[in-house]
Amino acid sequence: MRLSILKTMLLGLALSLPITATANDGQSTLYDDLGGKTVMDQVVSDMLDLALSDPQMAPIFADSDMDRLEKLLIIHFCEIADGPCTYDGQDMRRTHDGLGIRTMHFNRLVEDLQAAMDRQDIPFRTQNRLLARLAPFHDDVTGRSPVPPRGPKPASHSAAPLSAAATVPGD
Amino acid sequence: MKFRNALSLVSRRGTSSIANSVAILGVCISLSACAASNIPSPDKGRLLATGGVSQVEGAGGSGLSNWATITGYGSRDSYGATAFHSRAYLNDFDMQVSGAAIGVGNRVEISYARQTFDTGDTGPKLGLRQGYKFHQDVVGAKVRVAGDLVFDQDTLMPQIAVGAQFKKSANSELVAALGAESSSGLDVYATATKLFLDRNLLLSASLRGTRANQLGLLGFGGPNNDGYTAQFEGSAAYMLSRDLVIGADYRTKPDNLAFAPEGDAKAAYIAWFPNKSVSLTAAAVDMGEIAGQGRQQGFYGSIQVGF
Repeated sequence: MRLSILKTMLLGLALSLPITATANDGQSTLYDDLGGKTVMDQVVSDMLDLALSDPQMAPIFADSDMDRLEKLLIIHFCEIADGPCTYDGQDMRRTHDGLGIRTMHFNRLVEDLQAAMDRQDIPFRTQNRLLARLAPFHDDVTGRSPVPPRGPKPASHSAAPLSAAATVPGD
Repeated sequence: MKFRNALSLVSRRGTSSIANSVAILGVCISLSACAASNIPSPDKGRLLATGGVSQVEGAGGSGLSNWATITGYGSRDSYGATAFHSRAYLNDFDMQVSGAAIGVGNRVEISYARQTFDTGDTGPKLGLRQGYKFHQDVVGAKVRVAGDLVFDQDTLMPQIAVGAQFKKSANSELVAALGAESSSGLDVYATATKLFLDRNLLLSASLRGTRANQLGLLGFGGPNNDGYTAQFEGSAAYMLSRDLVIGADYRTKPDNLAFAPEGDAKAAYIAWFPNKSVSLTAAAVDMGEIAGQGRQQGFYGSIQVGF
């Protein structure tokens, strides 16, 4: 009797794994799965609104041009999700230098992003596929990685997901 | 090769973080209460469920397994604390564990747990009185030495921690009579835990050097073997949603005592994290053979509160 509960739970675990493995098959990009431009533009906008209404987060954006930041983030998220965009903004490490962003702020913004994606009914697993590509930026955003040398844009970004996104943007 | 580079990079970074963590911990202790008004309150700066729950010896992990995670939600700039109570209702025995732990700088974890193993109606069958209880205290320390569970999503690098648990049985005369060589012992372990965020999957594996009989409740060492043996703890957990996790644990144990064989433990669980202040875990558990009474299966429940 008790063992059958155990077996049922193990079976449930086993069954859930193959679904995960096939989630990324097919032609659609992560950007498509997230809902494309209309949805993701709204997600970025809502995420920033949530952050600005958080007293612990707002000071970080005190000197930011929010309209420009929103546009840059929309393009950046689009590129990270293999959408039809090319981010040519500044280096991630340098743009966040001196803003005093700590791990706590990084994760709070992740939570704001999660809330914004919930509003758009983006499935949990699709949300995590995006978060997995954003997570490695933590060291750049919180100033824990070395500052890259000034001059021409480096051949590869300092965080791997961008260079690892082998899919050619655009259809 | 790549792995080794990553390891040395992180461990070099780690050294200053450890110093930092110890400094924070020192401040907390010297003021005798971290809640003192001039100490910043915990930042709860990590993501929901990433601190795991409390394992049976009080460390951060799943029910049976130690994970490389540091308990609570304190980020590298802060600290967090947890307290928990767990109960297992087995065929012939019941078990209770209460404890608390503090995680500092997402780097160092100090934990304490008191385990009570209640023989209940089975006591007389073992030549003990009705309701005889075994007790054990466990003091643990764990240090994250490399990797980050959440942020290392672009590499295969897991979060790695090493630690030790000092265990002391409160029933020294009886465990000696059962054949145990000593009533206290030190477990040492190394743990690697990997979160595959894009697959909602967490895997953890741990090697533990131990002499403990039934976690130490029946003492340490015995006629079959008195030395350390390497034992395995493994976990697989799958996130159904942000606040709901199902998973399974497997844990091997030594078989040192002659009077009764000791078997491996396993569990399948579901854990709910409604917020960063509380989590509830329910599990079907099989603790293996205990004290000659056959395999001990049953229900396990645990509540953890976080600060």
